[in-house]
Amino acid sequence: MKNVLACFSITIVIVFVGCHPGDPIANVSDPSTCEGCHTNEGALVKLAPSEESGSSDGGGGG
Amino acid sequence: MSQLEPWEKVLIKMSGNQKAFSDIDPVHAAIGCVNCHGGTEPAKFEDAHGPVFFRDPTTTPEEFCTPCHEDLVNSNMNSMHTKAWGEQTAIAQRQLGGDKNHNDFDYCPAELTDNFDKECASCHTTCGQCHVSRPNSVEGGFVNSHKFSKKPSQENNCMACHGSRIGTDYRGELEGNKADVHQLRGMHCIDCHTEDFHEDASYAESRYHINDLPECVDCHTKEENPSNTWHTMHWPDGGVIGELSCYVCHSQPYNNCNNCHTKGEWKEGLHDYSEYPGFRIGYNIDLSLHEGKWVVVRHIPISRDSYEPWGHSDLPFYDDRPTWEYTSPHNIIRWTAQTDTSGTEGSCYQNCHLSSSVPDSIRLINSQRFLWQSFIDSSFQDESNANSTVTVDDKLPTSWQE
Repeated sequence: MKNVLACFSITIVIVFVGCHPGDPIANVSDPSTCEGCHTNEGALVKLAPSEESGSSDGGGGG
Repeated sequence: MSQLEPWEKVLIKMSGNQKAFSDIDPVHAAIGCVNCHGGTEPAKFEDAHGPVFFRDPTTTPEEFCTPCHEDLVNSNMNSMHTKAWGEQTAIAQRQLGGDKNHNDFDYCPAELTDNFDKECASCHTTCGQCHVSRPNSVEGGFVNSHKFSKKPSQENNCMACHGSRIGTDYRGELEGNKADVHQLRGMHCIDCHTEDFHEDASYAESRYHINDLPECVDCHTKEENPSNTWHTMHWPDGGVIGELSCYVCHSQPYNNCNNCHTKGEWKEGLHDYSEYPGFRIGYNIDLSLHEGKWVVVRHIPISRDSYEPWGHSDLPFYDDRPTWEYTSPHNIIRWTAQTDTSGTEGSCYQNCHLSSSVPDSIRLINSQRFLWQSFIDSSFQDESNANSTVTVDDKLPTSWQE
């Protein structure tokens, strides 16, 4: 029984560590932070509207 | 290359289990945004990018990159991508004389050196324009959610600057062309280009002078198929009669350019700027640099008044350097118009040699593949003297013309 519990506990730890996505930064959801704004597509669309522009591929090399 | 929307350029997009930038690039995330970019945090949008903000902190890598990448930063300051030594050499030779090189560039008039720094050097290039964002030439935008990628993206980074010629060639986008065989095999730029892009290249007067450039013979040797008589006859190191660059047989037509793109005026028709496909075999004027007496040449983006938008109307030594220069098209295939012997009973010379059984009729066959002085004189009247060394007149073996 102890072995089963030990294996179960270890499995839980491995799964937790393996699936843990990193340390969530609290300010991601805070629009007043750099990361909060630059990870928020909706906010960026409002703040940086579309503009007409285009570009050519450069011709260097060859 | 299609441009990203302004908001797309600066979006850090989470995927999968990612919850923060630290999940995308934990090492650089640990530095903190404002420690590289400046700005204010926390702040309202109006104040976030002030009072001091660096869109691309790697324009001053000695400040922001050196703490961790000191050796790379130091050598890269003089790399070919940063300094464009070859462009400096070309300007110096046309302004000061054909015996000059990049070391003489600073002696050129200020309108050339200053505008070169402002314009050309602004694209040649920062750390971030290869490893974080698309380059300035296509107006930027994160390639991979601001992740610092050790290996730049071929499409978003390399081809953004090397697209109109190399990218077009490699993908086979010119009408009638096929994609380069190496592209079809899934090869990327850096599979062949293993040279050190960050090295101090101040020793090199052009990109062709760089150490460890790839060569066809790195993978393809004459010995691998000694029964291939086309190779034994024409191998660039001498062969039997050939001394042809590999490109002479295995290139398809490639883009040529007229004029340059000073002052950002880089559009068809402006200042006679144009791009057009072509294929011309010329004479190799530097055997120490390129193999094969016969090479393919391309009209490079220059004209006598290219720097007029910079306030510099003439290049006094314009004739000291060809406007048709050695080129290495990235559109290699086995069976080209030169090598495909279909319908010729196996005689490839029908596709390339100037032979004719009719007396006095040389140049009747395949002459369009060669760079003749008469072609320059008629189509590029202002460039006759500049290209006399590279045209094939009086240099071709007489046996090719019999």
